[in-house]
Amino acid sequence: MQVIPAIDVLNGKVVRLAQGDYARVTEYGDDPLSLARAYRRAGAKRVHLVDLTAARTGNLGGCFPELVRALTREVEVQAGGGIRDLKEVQLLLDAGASAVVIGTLLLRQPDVVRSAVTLFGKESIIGALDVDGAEVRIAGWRQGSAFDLRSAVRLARECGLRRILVTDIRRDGMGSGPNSGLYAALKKQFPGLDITASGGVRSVSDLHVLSEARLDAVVVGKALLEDPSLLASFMGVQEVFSPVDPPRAERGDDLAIRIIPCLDVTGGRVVKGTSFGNLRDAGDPVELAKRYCAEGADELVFLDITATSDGRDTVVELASRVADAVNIPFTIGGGVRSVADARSLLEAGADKVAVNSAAVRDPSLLEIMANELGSANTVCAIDARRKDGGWTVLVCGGRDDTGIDAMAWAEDAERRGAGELLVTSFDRDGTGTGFDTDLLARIREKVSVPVIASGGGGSLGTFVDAVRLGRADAVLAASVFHFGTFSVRDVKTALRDASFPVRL
Amino acid sequence: MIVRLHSPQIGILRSSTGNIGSIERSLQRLGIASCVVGTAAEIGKTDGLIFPGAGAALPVMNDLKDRCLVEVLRNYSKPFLGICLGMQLLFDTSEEGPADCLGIIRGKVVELPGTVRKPHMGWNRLSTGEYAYFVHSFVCAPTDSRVITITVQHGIEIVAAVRKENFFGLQWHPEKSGETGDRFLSFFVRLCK
Repeated sequence: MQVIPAIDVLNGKVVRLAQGDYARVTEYGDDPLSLARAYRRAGAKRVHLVDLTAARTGNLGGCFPELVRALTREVEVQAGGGIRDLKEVQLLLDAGASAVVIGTLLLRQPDVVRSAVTLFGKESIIGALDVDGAEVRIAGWRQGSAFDLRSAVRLARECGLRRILVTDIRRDGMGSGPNSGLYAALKKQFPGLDITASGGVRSVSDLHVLSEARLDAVVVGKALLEDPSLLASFMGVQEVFSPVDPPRAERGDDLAIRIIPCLDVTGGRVVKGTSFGNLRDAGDPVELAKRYCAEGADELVFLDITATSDGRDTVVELASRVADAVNIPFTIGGGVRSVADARSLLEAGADKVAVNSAAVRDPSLLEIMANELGSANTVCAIDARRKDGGWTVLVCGGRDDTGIDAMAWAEDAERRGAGELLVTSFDRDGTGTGFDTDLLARIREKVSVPVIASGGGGSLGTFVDAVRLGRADAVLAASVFHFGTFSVRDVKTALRDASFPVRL
Repeated sequence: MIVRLHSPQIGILRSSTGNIGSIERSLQRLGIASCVVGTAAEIGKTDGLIFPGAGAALPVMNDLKDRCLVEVLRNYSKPFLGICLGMQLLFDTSEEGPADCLGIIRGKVVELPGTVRKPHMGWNRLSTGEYAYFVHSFVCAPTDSRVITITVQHGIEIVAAVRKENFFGLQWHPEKSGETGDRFLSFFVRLCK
């Protein structure tokens, strides 16, 4: 448990207020810097600096950031008092504060706190709740907030805060001992949050009680100001009771398995058939894109199956319309023959371009695309069919068998700069009988770039198998989504139930 | 483009290789006025600047040098947001090239180790709990860990966001990260007022 001495500053002087009452001020000199230095020498790692002037007026004093700057040369500082907006948070952080303490603003404008956590990091913001019996008080304790402590803590957690400082107003500056029952209950209810106690600590035994309640830190004010001889023993508590860091868990990987609805388009409409024939109309591509985006699709793939050169303008226009409509990545493929084709799609707003037949015919296309447009934008689509115990590569929408070994082509494509492989099993495509997990697993073993499983998506179990057995990084399907067999969310739920990470 | 009186003028830095359309569209969807800027004079008129770098470090740095923008960016005093390569260029040097970068944040940019899957592509869970979309093979290694604001796990811990004073960097793509990205962009724009 960290022991954090408090330094409250009012008009340049170090003070304590009794129960937050500005009429009951005790002064302790006008040299916060020397005080901070003394605390640091005694073993304090951090001080809790409060601008009481600003806490009352809501105006961050002109010299307060300077004081923060001076103190941070001596010791870590968490600073607060009257923070009104995002810019003031930044001002104090830029002055060197390790964290900014936010109270009133948290309850009045939680969205600002949420944005502060997002922009500056959750370690940089501490939520401060001043509790008076059942209610949390704001504006320097003068106003009620209509929040009870637990709902305020929940709100803080929703804002992304990890550290909460709870001050018991009735005990603060009274030297009556901390309200350890309150803190213990809070820590028990919110074990994931760091709870710092504040208010009423008199003695080392008070600290021991809080430490046993598993509090993470305690702010101590008046006791140390009144009796500096306590300093050494107070700071000593940090050593005795400092929790042993749990062994660092092995680094995991939280990368989600991507679920990708695929939209086959021709003449500006979405179609999908069985084994690349038998087209059925399933709607407007942009409307479908928006629907999938709202449904939780991680990415979209559009394949232009017309693939005649006169259709290029339509697909470029499609890229542009989709880019206007969605805020997730999407890939366009089908009929891309040159780096110029790919460039025009990227410039229109596509995130990635998939090449298939053209790359098989001239593998250097992958190198040129990777060099000129970037590997991350270059997807190599591979259509494979089982043959003689292996797989061969098909081109021209499955019409021509090249006789090329699919494994060798996958490796070659990666070596030449493809940033991702979209692997479609021609045998399974449109059948709904499950992905070719052998094919996927074999390719996945050969390459380091992500592999998208395609062709054969049927029941929810087939998607789980693509990941479990095929070890796919992403799974693509069309018909099951277009015709509403199930939703993207259903697939993700099935994967989550099978313990795979998904974005839900 | 929606132009409102008193709304901050967000500049999007034009780059020789990067695709700036996505970020432009994101801001447009959020109702945030923006304009594409390319010269020191244009940059000087902005209340905030977004650098959606894409491509490789060396050519983009060379391009900035050719356009005499290195000092302009270093001295930029309003909120600045570097995305992906735009974040990496905030550091001293990059192994990608190798290249000398802007040197605004101490540290270097290194290639992801061979032990993890490369590129780091897809949606990963940020230390904030939200999911964001990543596509990159190089990662930032700040000298001072205090600049790190968000991390992410991909076999190793990867720096997902940094901040030093008015310079913000995101390794992920807010323009492609659904609501997570929309939220970050609108929060960033708040700082530009």
